[in-house]
Amino acid sequence: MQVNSGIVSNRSLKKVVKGLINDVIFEIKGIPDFLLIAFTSKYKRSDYKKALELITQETGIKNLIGGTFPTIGVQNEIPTTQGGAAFTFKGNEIKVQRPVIYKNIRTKKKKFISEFPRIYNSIKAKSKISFVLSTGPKLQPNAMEQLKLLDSYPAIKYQNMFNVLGSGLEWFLGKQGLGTGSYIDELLNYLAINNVSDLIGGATFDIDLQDNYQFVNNFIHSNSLVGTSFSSDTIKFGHSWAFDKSEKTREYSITHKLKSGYIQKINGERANNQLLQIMDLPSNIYNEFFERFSYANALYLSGIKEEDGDYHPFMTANHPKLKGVVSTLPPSKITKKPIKAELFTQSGLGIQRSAYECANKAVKEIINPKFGIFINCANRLLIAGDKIAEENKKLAERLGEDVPFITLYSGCEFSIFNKKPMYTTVSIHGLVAGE
Amino acid sequence: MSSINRIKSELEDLLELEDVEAVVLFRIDGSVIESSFDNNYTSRKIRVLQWCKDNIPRVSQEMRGNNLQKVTYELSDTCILFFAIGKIGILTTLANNTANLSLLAVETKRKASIIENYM
Repeated sequence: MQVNSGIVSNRSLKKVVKGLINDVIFEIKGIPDFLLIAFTSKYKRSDYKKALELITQETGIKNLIGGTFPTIGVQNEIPTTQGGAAFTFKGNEIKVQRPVIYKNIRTKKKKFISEFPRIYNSIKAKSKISFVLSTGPKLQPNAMEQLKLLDSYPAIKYQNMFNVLGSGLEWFLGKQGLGTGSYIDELLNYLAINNVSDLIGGATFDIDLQDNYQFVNNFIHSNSLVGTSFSSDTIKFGHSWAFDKSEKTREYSITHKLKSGYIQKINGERANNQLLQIMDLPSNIYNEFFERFSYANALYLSGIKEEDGDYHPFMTANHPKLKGVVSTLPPSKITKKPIKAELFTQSGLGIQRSAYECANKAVKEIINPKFGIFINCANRLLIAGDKIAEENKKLAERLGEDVPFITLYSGCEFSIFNKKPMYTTVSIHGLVAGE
Repeated sequence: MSSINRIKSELEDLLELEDVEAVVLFRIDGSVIESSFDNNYTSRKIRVLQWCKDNIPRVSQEMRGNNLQKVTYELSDTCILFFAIGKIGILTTLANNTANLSLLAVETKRKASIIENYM
Protein backbone atom coordinates (compact mmCIF):
# COMPACT_ATOMS: atom_id res chain seq x y z
CA MET A 1 0.00 0.00 0.00
CA GLN A 2 1.38 3.40 -0.95
CA VAL A 3 0.63 6.31 1.40
CA ASN A 4 2.02 9.81 1.39
CA SER A 5 1.32 13.19 2.93
CA GLY A 6 3.00 16.57 2.88
CA ILE A 7 2.71 20.31 3.38
CA VAL A 8 3.61 23.23 1.16
CA SER A 9 3.55 26.73 2.62
CA ASN A 10 3.50 29.81 0.41
CA ARG A 11 1.51 33.03 -0.08
CA SER A 12 0.69 31.89 -3.62
CA LEU A 13 -1.82 29.02 -3.78
CA LYS A 14 -0.56 28.23 -7.28
CA LYS A 15 2.89 27.46 -5.88
CA VAL A 16 1.34 25.46 -3.04
CA VAL A 17 -0.59 23.30 -5.50
CA LYS A 18 2.40 22.71 -7.77
CA GLY A 19 4.43 21.67 -4.74
CA LEU A 20 1.73 19.29 -3.50
CA ILE A 21 1.32 17.69 -6.93
CA ASN A 22 5.04 17.18 -7.50
CA ASP A 23 6.23 16.38 -3.99
CA VAL A 24 3.28 14.51 -2.52
CA ILE A 25 0.79 13.17 -5.07
CA PHE A 26 3.27 12.20 -7.79
CA GLU A 27 5.21 10.18 -5.22
CA ILE A 28 2.36 7.66 -5.53
CA LYS A 29 2.77 5.44 -8.59
CA GLY A 30 -0.43 5.54 -10.67
CA ILE A 31 -3.67 7.37 -9.91
CA PRO A 32 -4.26 7.50 -6.14
CA ASP A 33 -7.37 5.80 -4.75
CA PHE A 34 -7.97 8.65 -2.34
CA LEU A 35 -6.78 12.22 -2.02
CA LEU A 36 -7.52 14.56 0.87
CA ILE A 37 -6.71 18.19 0.06
CA ALA A 38 -6.73 20.86 2.75
CA PHE A 39 -5.93 24.52 2.21
CA THR A 40 -5.65 27.28 4.78
CA SER A 41 -8.64 29.56 4.79
CA LYS A 42 -7.39 32.97 3.67
CA TYR A 43 -7.04 32.47 -0.07
CA LYS A 44 -9.71 33.54 -2.58
CA ARG A 45 -12.51 31.18 -3.64
CA SER A 46 -11.45 31.53 -7.27
CA ASP A 47 -7.92 30.43 -6.34
CA TYR A 48 -9.26 27.28 -4.65
CA LYS A 49 -11.29 26.52 -7.76
CA LYS A 50 -8.24 26.84 -10.02
CA ALA A 51 -6.21 24.75 -7.59
CA LEU A 52 -8.72 21.89 -7.61
CA GLU A 53 -8.98 21.98 -11.41
CA LEU A 54 -5.20 21.74 -11.72
CA ILE A 55 -4.97 18.87 -9.24
CA THR A 56 -7.73 16.80 -10.89
CA GLN A 57 -6.33 17.46 -14.38
CA GLU A 58 -2.74 16.63 -13.50
CA THR A 59 -3.44 13.58 -11.36
CA GLY A 60 -6.61 12.08 -12.85
CA ILE A 61 -7.95 11.58 -9.32
CA LYS A 62 -11.65 10.69 -8.97
CA ASN A 63 -11.84 10.43 -5.18
CA LEU A 64 -10.79 13.84 -3.91
CA ILE A 65 -12.38 15.44 -0.89
CA GLY A 66 -11.15 18.32 1.20
CA GLY A 67 -11.78 21.76 2.55
CA THR A 68 -10.38 24.88 4.17
CA PHE A 69 -8.98 25.06 7.70
CA PRO A 70 -7.01 27.68 9.66
CA THR A 71 -4.05 25.35 10.03
CA ILE A 72 -3.03 21.95 8.72
CA GLY A 73 -0.35 19.61 10.03
CA VAL A 74 1.35 16.44 8.83
CA GLN A 75 4.02 14.19 10.34
CA ASN A 76 7.54 15.60 10.80
CA GLU A 77 6.69 19.17 9.76
CA ILE A 78 5.66 22.40 11.44
CA PRO A 79 1.95 22.93 10.67
CA THR A 80 1.14 25.65 8.17
CA THR A 81 -1.21 28.61 8.53
CA GLN A 82 -0.49 29.76 4.97
CA GLY A 83 -0.54 26.94 2.46
CA GLY A 84 -1.95 23.50 2.00
CA ALA A 85 -1.50 19.82 2.63
CA ALA A 86 -2.25 16.63 0.76
CA PHE A 87 -2.81 13.16 2.12
CA THR A 88 -3.14 10.33 -0.36
CA PHE A 89 -3.07 6.55 -0.66
CA LYS A 90 -3.34 3.76 -3.23
CA GLY A 91 -3.68 0.04 -2.72
CA ASN A 92 -6.00 -2.93 -3.07
CA GLU A 93 -6.33 -3.25 0.69
CA ILE A 94 -8.78 -0.35 1.09
CA LYS A 95 -11.85 0.33 -1.01
CA VAL A 96 -12.88 3.97 -1.21
CA GLN A 97 -16.51 4.88 -1.90
CA ARG A 98 -17.23 7.52 -4.53
CA PRO A 99 -17.31 10.88 -2.70
CA VAL A 100 -20.75 12.34 -2.06
CA ILE A 101 -21.87 15.92 -1.53
CA TYR A 102 -24.95 17.34 0.19
CA LYS A 103 -25.52 21.03 -0.50
CA ASN A 104 -27.18 23.45 1.94
CA ILE A 105 -26.73 20.86 4.65
CA ARG A 106 -27.88 23.17 7.46
CA THR A 107 -31.39 23.38 6.00
CA LYS A 108 -31.67 20.37 3.67
CA LYS A 109 -30.90 17.37 5.83
CA LYS A 110 -33.47 14.87 4.53
CA LYS A 111 -31.49 13.64 1.53
CA PHE A 112 -28.36 13.13 3.60
CA ILE A 113 -30.20 11.37 6.39
CA SER A 114 -31.89 8.91 4.02
CA GLU A 115 -29.11 8.38 1.48
CA PHE A 116 -25.90 8.31 3.50
CA PRO A 117 -26.88 5.39 5.80
CA ARG A 118 -28.07 3.41 2.77
CA ILE A 119 -24.69 3.80 1.08
CA TYR A 120 -22.85 2.97 4.31
CA ASN A 121 -24.96 -0.10 5.04
CA SER A 122 -24.54 -1.43 1.50
CA ILE A 123 -20.78 -1.79 2.06
CA LYS A 124 -19.92 -5.38 2.88
CA ALA A 125 -16.52 -5.61 4.51
CA LYS A 126 -14.98 -6.68 7.81
CA SER A 127 -14.06 -3.13 8.70
CA LYS A 128 -15.51 0.15 7.50
CA ILE A 129 -15.68 3.79 8.50
CA SER A 130 -17.04 6.98 6.95
CA PHE A 131 -15.06 10.18 6.71
CA VAL A 132 -16.92 13.48 6.29
CA LEU A 133 -16.15 17.19 6.23
CA SER A 134 -18.98 19.62 6.83
CA THR A 135 -19.37 23.36 6.88
CA GLY A 136 -18.33 24.86 10.20
CA PRO A 137 -19.22 27.97 12.20
CA LYS A 138 -19.73 31.08 10.11
CA LEU A 139 -21.24 34.13 11.77
CA GLN A 140 -21.97 37.77 11.03
CA PRO A 141 -19.32 40.05 12.60
CA ASN A 142 -21.66 41.28 15.36
CA ALA A 143 -23.59 38.02 15.75
CA MET A 144 -22.80 37.62 19.45
CA GLU A 145 -24.02 41.09 20.36
CA GLN A 146 -27.35 40.29 18.69
CA LEU A 147 -27.90 37.56 21.28
CA LYS A 148 -28.70 40.24 23.90
CA LEU A 149 -32.37 39.46 23.38
CA LEU A 150 -31.77 36.04 24.96
CA ASP A 151 -30.88 37.75 28.25
CA SER A 152 -34.33 39.33 28.49
CA TYR A 153 -36.87 38.30 31.11
CA PRO A 154 -39.29 36.70 28.55
CA ALA A 155 -36.45 34.61 27.08
CA ILE A 156 -35.70 33.20 30.52
CA LYS A 157 -39.33 32.78 31.53
CA TYR A 158 -40.64 31.30 28.25
CA GLN A 159 -37.78 29.06 27.18
CA ASN A 160 -39.92 26.70 25.07
CA MET A 161 -41.20 29.57 22.97
CA PHE A 162 -37.70 30.97 22.50
CA ASN A 163 -36.42 27.51 21.55
CA VAL A 164 -39.00 27.43 18.74
CA LEU A 165 -38.10 30.97 17.70
CA GLY A 166 -34.42 30.05 17.93
CA SER A 167 -34.76 27.07 15.60
CA GLY A 168 -36.67 29.27 13.14
CA LEU A 169 -33.89 31.84 13.25
CA GLU A 170 -31.29 29.10 12.90
CA TRP A 171 -33.06 27.85 9.76
CA PHE A 172 -33.26 31.39 8.34
CA LEU A 173 -29.55 32.00 8.98
CA GLY A 174 -28.73 28.51 7.71
CA LYS A 175 -30.29 29.41 4.35
CA GLN A 176 -27.67 32.14 4.11
CA GLY A 177 -24.89 29.75 5.08
CA LEU A 178 -24.60 31.22 8.57
CA GLY A 179 -24.66 29.43 11.91
CA THR A 180 -22.68 27.31 14.30
CA GLY A 181 -21.76 23.66 13.88
CA SER A 182 -24.47 22.35 16.19
CA TYR A 183 -26.63 21.06 13.29
CA ILE A 184 -24.07 18.25 13.00
CA ASP A 185 -25.20 16.89 16.38
CA GLU A 186 -28.66 16.20 14.91
CA LEU A 187 -27.17 14.59 11.79
CA LEU A 188 -24.99 12.25 13.84
CA ASN A 189 -27.91 11.13 15.95
CA TYR A 190 -29.91 10.26 12.80
CA LEU A 191 -26.97 8.36 11.30
CA ALA A 192 -26.40 6.37 14.48
CA ILE A 193 -30.08 5.40 14.68
CA ASN A 194 -29.82 4.25 11.06
CA ASN A 195 -26.94 1.87 11.77
CA VAL A 196 -23.99 3.99 10.71
CA SER A 197 -21.71 2.48 13.31
CA ASP A 198 -18.41 4.28 12.67
CA LEU A 199 -17.69 7.73 11.32
CA ILE A 200 -15.10 10.44 11.80
CA GLY A 201 -15.40 14.03 10.64
CA GLY A 202 -14.60 17.66 11.10
CA ALA A 203 -15.94 21.07 10.23
CA THR A 204 -14.22 23.27 7.68
CA PHE A 205 -13.44 26.54 9.39
CA ASP A 206 -12.06 30.05 9.27
CA ILE A 207 -10.64 31.36 12.53
CA ASP A 208 -12.45 34.70 12.01
CA LEU A 209 -15.75 32.81 11.56
CA GLN A 210 -15.99 33.82 7.92
CA ASP A 211 -16.17 31.76 4.67
CA ASN A 212 -15.15 28.13 4.77
CA TYR A 213 -15.28 25.71 1.84
CA GLN A 214 -15.67 22.03 1.08
CA PHE A 215 -14.18 20.24 -1.93
CA VAL A 216 -15.19 17.24 -4.02
CA ASN A 217 -12.96 16.53 -7.02
CA ASN A 218 -12.81 19.84 -8.93
CA PHE A 219 -15.93 21.31 -7.30
CA ILE A 220 -15.87 23.85 -4.50
CA HIS A 221 -18.85 24.40 -2.21
CA SER A 222 -19.77 26.37 0.85
CA ASN A 223 -22.50 25.39 3.32
CA SER A 224 -22.19 21.71 2.31
CA LEU A 225 -21.16 18.32 3.59
CA VAL A 226 -18.78 16.09 1.67
CA GLY A 227 -17.87 12.54 2.54
CA THR A 228 -16.73 9.08 1.62
CA SER A 229 -16.30 5.69 3.28
CA PHE A 230 -13.30 3.40 3.58
CA SER A 231 -13.74 -0.35 3.81
CA SER A 232 -11.43 -3.33 3.98
CA ASP A 233 -11.22 -7.03 4.78
CA THR A 234 -7.54 -6.85 5.73
CA ILE A 235 -7.06 -3.37 7.22
CA LYS A 236 -8.55 -2.36 10.56
CA PHE A 237 -9.77 1.15 11.28
CA GLY A 238 -8.94 2.19 14.84
CA HIS A 239 -10.89 5.20 15.97
CA SER A 240 -10.83 7.31 19.10
CA TRP A 241 -10.93 10.77 20.68
CA ALA A 242 -9.59 12.64 23.70
CA PHE A 243 -9.50 16.07 25.27
CA ASP A 244 -7.34 17.83 27.84
CA LYS A 245 -9.01 16.96 31.13
CA SER A 246 -5.93 16.80 33.27
CA GLU A 247 -6.79 19.53 35.80
CA LYS A 248 -10.35 19.51 37.03
CA THR A 249 -11.12 22.62 39.05
CA ARG A 250 -14.73 23.26 40.01
CA GLU A 251 -18.26 22.09 39.37
CA TYR A 252 -21.24 24.20 38.43
CA SER A 253 -24.87 23.76 37.47
CA ILE A 254 -26.38 25.12 34.24
CA THR A 255 -29.85 26.02 35.46
CA HIS A 256 -31.26 28.14 32.58
CA LYS A 257 -30.33 27.42 28.96
CA LEU A 258 -31.71 27.35 25.44
CA LYS A 259 -31.47 24.61 22.80
CA SER A 260 -29.08 26.76 20.80
CA GLY A 261 -26.50 26.26 23.58
CA TYR A 262 -26.96 29.75 25.00
CA ILE A 263 -26.55 29.55 28.79
CA GLN A 264 -28.64 32.16 30.56
CA LYS A 265 -27.99 31.24 34.19
CA ILE A 266 -25.44 29.25 36.12
CA ASN A 267 -26.23 28.24 39.71
CA GLY A 268 -29.38 30.37 39.37
CA GLU A 269 -27.39 33.55 38.68
CA ARG A 270 -26.57 35.37 35.41
CA ALA A 271 -24.15 33.04 33.64
CA ASN A 272 -21.49 35.52 32.47
CA ASN A 273 -20.67 36.84 35.94
CA GLN A 274 -21.04 33.44 37.57
CA LEU A 275 -18.63 31.73 35.20
CA LEU A 276 -16.06 34.50 35.64
CA GLN A 277 -16.40 34.11 39.41
CA ILE A 278 -15.99 30.34 39.15
CA MET A 279 -12.88 30.87 37.03
CA ASP A 280 -11.74 33.57 39.46
CA LEU A 281 -11.06 35.95 36.57
CA PRO A 282 -11.96 39.68 36.62
CA SER A 283 -13.97 40.63 33.53
CA ASN A 284 -11.48 43.29 32.35
CA ILE A 285 -8.63 40.77 32.26
CA TYR A 286 -10.80 38.16 30.54
CA ASN A 287 -11.93 40.66 27.91
CA GLU A 288 -8.44 41.96 27.22
CA PHE A 289 -7.00 38.48 26.87
CA PHE A 290 -9.76 36.75 24.91
CA GLU A 291 -11.04 39.51 22.64
CA ARG A 292 -8.70 38.19 19.96
CA PHE A 293 -10.37 34.78 20.17
CA SER A 294 -13.92 36.18 19.72
CA TYR A 295 -14.14 35.95 23.54
CA ALA A 296 -13.89 32.14 23.42
CA ASN A 297 -12.37 30.84 26.61
CA ALA A 298 -8.98 29.38 25.78
CA LEU A 299 -7.94 28.83 29.41
CA TYR A 300 -10.75 26.59 30.58
CA LEU A 301 -13.12 24.11 29.01
CA SER A 302 -16.24 22.60 30.52
CA GLY A 303 -17.39 19.00 30.48
CA ILE A 304 -20.61 17.16 31.23
CA LYS A 305 -20.10 13.86 32.97
CA GLU A 306 -22.11 11.17 31.19
CA GLU A 307 -23.66 8.00 32.56
CA ASP A 308 -20.81 5.84 31.27
CA GLY A 309 -18.31 8.00 33.18
CA ASP A 310 -17.00 9.69 30.03
CA TYR A 311 -16.99 13.49 29.77
CA HIS A 312 -18.52 15.50 26.97
CA PRO A 313 -16.42 18.68 26.54
CA PHE A 314 -17.76 22.02 25.37
CA MET A 315 -16.41 25.51 24.97
CA THR A 316 -17.80 28.74 26.39
CA ALA A 317 -17.48 32.38 25.34
CA ASN A 318 -18.09 35.29 27.71
CA HIS A 319 -18.94 38.28 25.54
CA PRO A 320 -18.83 41.56 27.52
CA LYS A 321 -22.16 42.75 26.04
CA LEU A 322 -24.02 39.64 27.17
CA LYS A 323 -25.30 38.55 30.56
CA GLY A 324 -25.33 34.93 29.46
CA VAL A 325 -22.64 32.70 28.02
CA VAL A 326 -22.39 31.35 24.47
CA SER A 327 -21.52 27.66 24.50
CA THR A 328 -20.98 24.75 22.14
CA LEU A 329 -23.20 22.42 24.18
CA PRO A 330 -24.71 19.94 21.72
CA PRO A 331 -28.52 20.29 21.41
CA SER A 332 -28.97 16.58 22.22
CA LYS A 333 -27.38 17.13 25.65
CA ILE A 334 -29.67 20.04 26.55
CA THR A 335 -32.48 18.74 28.71
CA LYS A 336 -35.03 20.52 30.88
CA LYS A 337 -33.24 19.50 34.06
CA PRO A 338 -30.24 21.48 35.31
CA ILE A 339 -27.00 20.22 33.75
CA LYS A 340 -24.05 19.53 36.01
CA ALA A 341 -20.81 20.66 34.42
CA GLU A 342 -17.19 20.57 35.49
CA LEU A 343 -14.49 23.05 34.65
CA PHE A 344 -11.06 21.93 33.43
CA THR A 345 -7.95 23.96 32.81
CA GLN A 346 -6.26 23.69 29.43
CA SER A 347 -2.53 23.80 28.90
CA GLY A 348 0.04 23.22 26.18
CA LEU A 349 1.29 20.06 27.91
CA GLY A 350 -2.25 18.81 28.51
CA ILE A 351 -2.94 19.18 24.80
CA GLN A 352 0.11 17.12 23.95
CA ARG A 353 -0.89 14.45 26.46
CA SER A 354 -4.43 14.21 25.09
CA ALA A 355 -3.13 13.95 21.51
CA TYR A 356 -1.01 10.99 22.58
CA GLU A 357 -3.99 9.50 24.41
CA CYS A 358 -6.14 9.78 21.26
CA ALA A 359 -3.50 8.09 19.08
CA ASN A 360 -2.87 5.46 21.74
CA LYS A 361 -6.52 4.48 21.98
CA ALA A 362 -6.98 4.52 18.17
CA VAL A 363 -3.98 2.27 17.59
CA LYS A 364 -4.82 -0.15 20.41
CA GLU A 365 -5.83 -3.08 18.21
CA ILE A 366 -3.45 -2.30 15.38
CA ILE A 367 0.07 -3.76 15.24
CA ASN A 368 1.23 -2.16 12.03
CA PRO A 369 -0.25 1.34 11.46
CA LYS A 370 -0.37 2.47 7.82
CA PHE A 371 -1.75 5.99 8.19
CA GLY A 372 -3.71 8.37 10.40
CA ILE A 373 -6.26 11.14 9.93
CA PHE A 374 -6.74 13.47 12.90
CA ILE A 375 -9.36 16.16 13.41
CA ASN A 376 -8.16 18.62 16.01
CA CYS A 377 -9.93 21.66 17.45
CA ALA A 378 -8.69 25.06 16.27
CA ASN A 379 -9.12 26.27 19.86
CA ARG A 380 -6.41 23.83 20.95
CA LEU A 381 -4.23 25.32 18.24
CA LEU A 382 -4.67 28.79 19.72
CA ILE A 383 -3.58 27.50 23.13
CA ALA A 384 -0.54 25.69 21.80
CA GLY A 385 0.58 28.41 19.35
CA ASP A 386 4.00 27.66 17.91
CA LYS A 387 4.31 24.63 20.21
CA ILE A 388 1.65 22.92 18.08
CA ALA A 389 4.36 20.94 16.29
CA GLU A 390 5.02 19.18 19.62
CA GLU A 391 1.49 17.81 19.56
CA ASN A 392 2.09 16.23 16.16
CA LYS A 393 5.35 14.77 17.47
CA LYS A 394 3.29 12.98 20.13
CA LEU A 395 1.08 11.50 17.41
CA ALA A 396 4.15 10.39 15.46
CA GLU A 397 5.66 8.93 18.63
CA ARG A 398 2.67 6.61 19.04
CA LEU A 399 2.01 5.82 15.37
CA GLY A 400 5.64 5.37 14.36
CA GLU A 401 8.01 7.98 12.99
CA ASP A 402 7.49 7.03 9.34
CA VAL A 403 3.72 6.60 9.39
CA PRO A 404 2.06 9.35 7.29
CA PHE A 405 -0.77 11.28 8.86
CA ILE A 406 -2.63 14.55 8.47
CA THR A 407 -4.12 16.81 11.15
CA LEU A 408 -6.94 19.19 10.25
CA TYR A 409 -7.59 22.00 12.75
CA SER A 410 -11.36 22.24 12.58
CA GLY A 411 -14.37 24.22 13.81
CA CYS A 412 -15.73 21.16 15.63
CA GLU A 413 -14.89 17.48 15.69
CA PHE A 414 -17.29 14.58 15.54
CA SER A 415 -17.47 10.83 15.39
CA ILE A 416 -19.76 7.89 15.72
CA PHE A 417 -18.15 5.21 17.86
CA ASN A 418 -19.98 1.90 17.54
CA LYS A 419 -23.30 3.76 17.02
CA LYS A 420 -22.58 6.31 19.76
CA PRO A 421 -22.58 9.84 18.29
CA MET A 422 -20.03 12.26 19.67
CA TYR A 423 -20.14 15.92 18.61
CA THR A 424 -17.49 17.88 20.49
CA THR A 425 -15.24 20.90 20.51
CA VAL A 426 -11.84 21.49 22.19
CA SER A 427 -10.92 17.87 21.47
CA ILE A 428 -9.02 15.67 19.06
CA HIS A 429 -10.57 12.79 17.11
CA GLY A 430 -8.39 10.29 15.28
CA LEU A 431 -8.59 7.50 12.75
CA VAL A 432 -5.69 5.07 12.39
CA ALA A 433 -5.68 2.43 9.66
CA GLY A 434 -3.44 -0.60 9.87
CA GLU A 435 -3.05 -4.34 10.19
CA MET B 1 17.29 31.63 -7.09
CA SER B 2 19.99 33.01 -4.76
CA SER B 3 19.75 32.52 -1.01
CA ILE B 4 18.97 36.17 -0.38
CA ASN B 5 16.10 36.07 -2.91
CA ARG B 6 14.75 32.94 -1.25
CA ILE B 7 14.91 34.66 2.12
CA LYS B 8 13.15 37.70 0.65
CA SER B 9 10.40 35.46 -0.72
CA GLU B 10 9.87 33.84 2.70
CA LEU B 11 9.62 37.28 4.34
CA GLU B 12 7.06 38.33 1.75
CA ASP B 13 5.02 35.22 2.59
CA LEU B 14 4.92 36.34 6.21
CA LEU B 15 3.97 39.86 5.23
CA GLU B 16 0.91 38.50 3.41
CA LEU B 17 -0.52 37.20 6.69
CA GLU B 18 -3.37 39.15 8.20
CA ASP B 19 -2.30 42.05 10.49
CA VAL B 20 1.43 41.74 9.69
CA GLU B 21 2.96 45.13 8.92
CA ALA B 22 6.67 44.46 8.52
CA VAL B 23 9.15 41.60 8.62
CA VAL B 24 12.86 42.16 9.12
CA LEU B 25 15.72 39.70 9.32
CA PHE B 26 18.37 41.23 11.57
CA ARG B 27 21.87 40.10 12.34
CA ILE B 28 22.40 39.89 16.08
CA ASP B 29 24.44 43.13 15.97
CA GLY B 30 21.37 45.01 14.68
CA SER B 31 22.25 45.26 11.00
CA VAL B 32 19.50 44.39 8.53
CA ILE B 33 20.01 41.32 6.32
CA GLU B 34 16.69 41.53 4.47
CA SER B 35 13.26 43.08 5.05
CA SER B 36 9.76 43.32 3.70
CA PHE B 37 7.16 46.05 4.45
CA ASP B 38 3.62 46.83 3.49
CA ASN B 39 3.07 50.15 1.71
CA ASN B 40 1.67 51.95 4.70
CA TYR B 41 4.66 53.87 6.12
CA THR B 42 3.39 55.43 9.32
CA SER B 43 5.55 57.28 11.78
CA ARG B 44 4.51 54.73 14.40
CA LYS B 45 5.85 51.87 12.32
CA ILE B 46 9.11 53.64 11.61
CA ARG B 47 9.50 54.45 15.30
CA VAL B 48 8.91 50.82 16.28
CA LEU B 49 11.33 49.57 13.63
CA GLN B 50 13.98 51.96 14.88
CA TRP B 51 13.34 50.70 18.41
CA CYS B 52 13.79 47.11 17.18
CA LYS B 53 17.03 47.97 15.41
CA ASP B 54 18.41 49.71 18.50
CA ASN B 55 17.42 46.87 20.81
CA ILE B 56 18.29 43.81 18.73
CA PRO B 57 21.80 43.41 20.28
CA ARG B 58 20.27 43.44 23.77
CA VAL B 59 17.34 41.19 22.83
CA SER B 60 19.61 38.67 21.09
CA GLN B 61 21.96 38.64 24.07
CA GLU B 62 19.00 37.89 26.36
CA MET B 63 17.76 35.16 24.03
CA ARG B 64 21.13 33.46 23.75
CA GLY B 65 21.87 33.88 27.46
CA ASN B 66 18.59 32.28 28.49
CA ASN B 67 18.26 29.84 25.59
CA LEU B 68 15.06 31.48 24.36
CA GLN B 69 13.82 30.64 20.88
CA LYS B 70 11.08 33.26 20.80
CA VAL B 71 10.42 36.56 22.56
CA THR B 72 7.19 38.52 22.19
CA TYR B 73 6.72 42.22 23.00
CA GLU B 74 3.18 43.49 23.19
CA LEU B 75 3.19 47.28 22.99
CA SER B 76 -0.02 49.31 23.19
CA ASP B 77 -0.63 49.25 19.44
CA THR B 78 1.95 46.82 18.08
CA CYS B 79 3.09 43.26 18.68
CA ILE B 80 6.66 42.24 17.94
CA LEU B 81 7.81 38.65 17.62
CA PHE B 82 11.55 37.90 17.74
CA PHE B 83 12.56 34.42 16.59
CA ALA B 84 16.17 33.28 16.86
CA ILE B 85 17.63 31.88 13.62
CA GLY B 86 20.75 29.89 14.35
CA LYS B 87 23.46 31.87 16.11
CA ILE B 88 23.48 34.93 13.89
CA GLY B 89 19.95 35.94 12.93
CA ILE B 90 16.80 37.29 14.53
CA LEU B 91 13.58 37.14 12.51
CA THR B 92 11.44 40.10 13.59
CA THR B 93 7.74 40.29 12.77
CA LEU B 94 5.72 43.44 13.46
CA ALA B 95 1.95 43.10 13.61
CA ASN B 96 -0.84 45.34 14.75
CA ASN B 97 -2.40 44.67 18.13
CA THR B 98 -5.36 42.77 16.72
CA ALA B 99 -3.12 40.01 15.35
CA ASN B 100 -3.73 36.45 16.46
CA LEU B 101 -0.33 35.83 18.03
CA SER B 102 -0.82 32.08 18.33
CA LEU B 103 -1.33 31.63 14.61
CA LEU B 104 1.34 34.17 13.76
CA ALA B 105 3.84 32.33 15.95
CA VAL B 106 3.16 29.06 14.11
CA GLU B 107 4.00 30.53 10.71
CA THR B 108 6.93 32.61 11.99
CA LYS B 109 8.49 29.50 13.49
CA ARG B 110 8.03 27.68 10.19
CA LYS B 111 9.68 30.54 8.28
CA ALA B 112 12.52 30.78 10.81
CA SER B 113 13.34 27.11 10.25
CA ILE B 114 13.25 27.53 6.45
CA ILE B 115 15.39 30.69 6.52
CA GLU B 116 17.93 28.97 8.77
CA ASN B 117 18.57 26.52 5.91
CA TYR B 118 19.31 29.41 3.53
CA MET B 119 21.82 31.09 5.84
